[in-house]
Amino acid sequence: MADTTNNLDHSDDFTLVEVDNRITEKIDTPKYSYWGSVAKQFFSKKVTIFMLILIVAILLLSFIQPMFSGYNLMDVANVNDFSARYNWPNAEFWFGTDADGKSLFDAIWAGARTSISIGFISTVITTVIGVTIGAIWGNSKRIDRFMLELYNIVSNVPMLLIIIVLSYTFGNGFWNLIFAMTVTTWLGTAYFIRVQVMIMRDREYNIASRTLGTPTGRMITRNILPYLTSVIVTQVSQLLPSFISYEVFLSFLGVGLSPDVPSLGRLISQYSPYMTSYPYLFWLPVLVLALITVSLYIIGQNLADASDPRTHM
Amino acid sequence: MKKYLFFRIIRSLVSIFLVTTLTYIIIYSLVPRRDVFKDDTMVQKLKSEPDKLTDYENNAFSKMNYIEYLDTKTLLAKASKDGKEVTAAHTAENKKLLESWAKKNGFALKRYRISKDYYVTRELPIWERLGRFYGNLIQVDNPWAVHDPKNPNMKRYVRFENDKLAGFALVGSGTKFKYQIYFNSSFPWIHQNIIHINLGTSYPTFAGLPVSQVMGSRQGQTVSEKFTFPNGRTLNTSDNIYTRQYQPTANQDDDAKERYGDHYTATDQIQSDPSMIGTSFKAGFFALIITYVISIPMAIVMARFKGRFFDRLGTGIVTVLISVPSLAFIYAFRYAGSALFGLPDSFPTLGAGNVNSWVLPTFVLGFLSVSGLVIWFRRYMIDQQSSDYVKFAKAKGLEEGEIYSKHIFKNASIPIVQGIPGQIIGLIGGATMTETIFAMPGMGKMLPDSIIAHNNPLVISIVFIFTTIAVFSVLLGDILMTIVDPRIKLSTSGDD
Repeated sequence: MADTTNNLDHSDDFTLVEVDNRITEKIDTPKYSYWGSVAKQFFSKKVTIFMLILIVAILLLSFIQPMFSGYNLMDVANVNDFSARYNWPNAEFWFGTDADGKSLFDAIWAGARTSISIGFISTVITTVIGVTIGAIWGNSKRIDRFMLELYNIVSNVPMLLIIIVLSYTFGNGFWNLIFAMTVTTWLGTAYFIRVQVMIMRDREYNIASRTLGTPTGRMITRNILPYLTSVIVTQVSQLLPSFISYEVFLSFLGVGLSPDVPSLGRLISQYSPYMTSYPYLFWLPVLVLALITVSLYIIGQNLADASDPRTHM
Repeated sequence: MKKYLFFRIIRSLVSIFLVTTLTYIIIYSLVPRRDVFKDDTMVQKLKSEPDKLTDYENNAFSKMNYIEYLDTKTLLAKASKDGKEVTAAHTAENKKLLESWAKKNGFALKRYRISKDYYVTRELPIWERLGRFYGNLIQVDNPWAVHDPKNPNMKRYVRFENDKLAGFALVGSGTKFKYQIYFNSSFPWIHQNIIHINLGTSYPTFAGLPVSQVMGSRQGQTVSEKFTFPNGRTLNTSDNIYTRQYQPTANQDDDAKERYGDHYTATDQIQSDPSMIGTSFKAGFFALIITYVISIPMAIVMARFKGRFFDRLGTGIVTVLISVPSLAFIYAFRYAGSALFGLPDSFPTLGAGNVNSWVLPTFVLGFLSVSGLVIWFRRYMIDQQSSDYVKFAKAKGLEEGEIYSKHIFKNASIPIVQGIPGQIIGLIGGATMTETIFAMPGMGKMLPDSIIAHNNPLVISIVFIFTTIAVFSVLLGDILMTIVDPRIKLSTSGDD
């Protein structure tokens, strides 16, 4: 055997090949982009796209329409014009008019703007404070002892009770209401993040990272928080509708906002006596309110699912 | 375990104390005190008589423990005690004496606008108000409670006897209440009058009534019954004889004294409807049952046929229920209930005596917490499905139904048992909305009502009661969990 191989001439069998960079790229695994996959997963569901279109439409209407309609809750210019009163929804007044001859269409979007703004601002405040403090809380034993006691005290009291009492004591007003709603709610978010951080903190990769000398701040921002994206999005998707709900209920009671600020809750409480006589006055604000919270919730839930890397396979 | 429980109860009490104190401080320091007169008709009426208005306002503030207030008569009497007689005449000497008295006792000397008579007020610091609130919180009745100068030879005792009116009872003399412990046919059959909670005086709504009475006494119309009194007379009366209290000789009317035969003639009236606490409790209790009866079977079926039609339908319903604001849900359900079944859409239409008034609010209250419970219970059941012991049971040939009822259900219900307090806390929140919308005379409706009326003592008491219920239901939930699953030890667990 050895003799035959030695006798063969190899010079014709082989050609020199240049290294081809493009082909090596192709053999490599496809490039993974986290946010790209999130977007792909998020837009793959028809319900999500539908809800997204719905909420964008509602947002545009409620933030642009009031600029042109110039709706003012205190305006009673048409109060003596009998033909303007109680018009059922028609081509001119899409959602009809109320006892003062004001267009319900204008009222709803002006109210929705307030309600949505309060919901968004409160959610942002709660989430930012909650996540920051929760991340620190989960990493420090000393803070943990104190915060846990604080949490035990606050979490035992029904949230609605705290919010009602606080908005009563701080008085009526847009920012007062936001303050009343956020001043204790962040504790719930912070506690939730703390538990998640504690679970992540003692995973092997983090122990390894700490052994290699990573400072705590970097551990939190680089190693732990990216893992919690989907958890945080879930929290946000639950907070947003609940804040809108609280606002609506407080305005319904007449506790939260000053009397000249329109909001969906105020509309609902103002028009609830007309539930049987002029049902459109009552049910249209309720319907818009339900559409806002349902679409926000479903979008949030699906975004949370999409931001979980396990669904990207 | 016992040690843990002891500290847990202490911590619960501290928690209640802190929440109530904080509420007290923020309400009494942040809410402008003039707000209490916003809707007071008396203030409008007295506008033309500034002196009476000053007197009325200061009396109101002193009832609410904002200030200490002495009108001219009381002031002169107090100041005269120091030695020199002070008269009502507006002389320089009297003024000097009053000024020195006021300065000594920390009061500020003021004059009425028209009559120019003197009166004094003293701002109560917040800690003193708090001290009074907690100091008077629990009142224990005893044989030395009553001191009536016109009845000096009153016997003082507490003994068990067969009373002509109340049957066998622990009867007191010299005590505030005649019947300290008594038995009758109403739940829970044995009642006491020894310990009473005093939460202050309600103002401006239910003005002058003790807060505990506003919330704890029955409401509605008085009910009279035929009744035979100790003196042998049979009368139609609405007196609730079990609440007989001592009435000082000066205020007593002869008829009542003759009827009852002693000084204990002040009684409450028997009323038709349950108290505020009772109303909320009744509705809440049945709502809790409704929540569990609906959501547990629903979650079991959803988990068992995961991904199939019923599961997807259920998830859809639950998603909508969670995301729709409670206010919209309550209104929609109320409308459906009254349109389809003809049930009253407002509680007072038929009143508390009619079962139909209770149906809608109770069901709404129950439905409000269904969504949360279904989601969690389904999650727990599905988590259990993939555990080793279930696979093992399957491998041994157990039927699906048996695995579900005997293995998965039991394990999945552990966190549910612990969740009961959460449900109760949720019920309180839900009750605030539901009771308001149905105009149901319970504590939940009372909270927004008293806030709008600026009835601060009532707000604080409701916070106190709700917090107490919530804190102890959390404690109870933990204890219940250890009973359901003996593997769980509270003393070593804890989430840190």
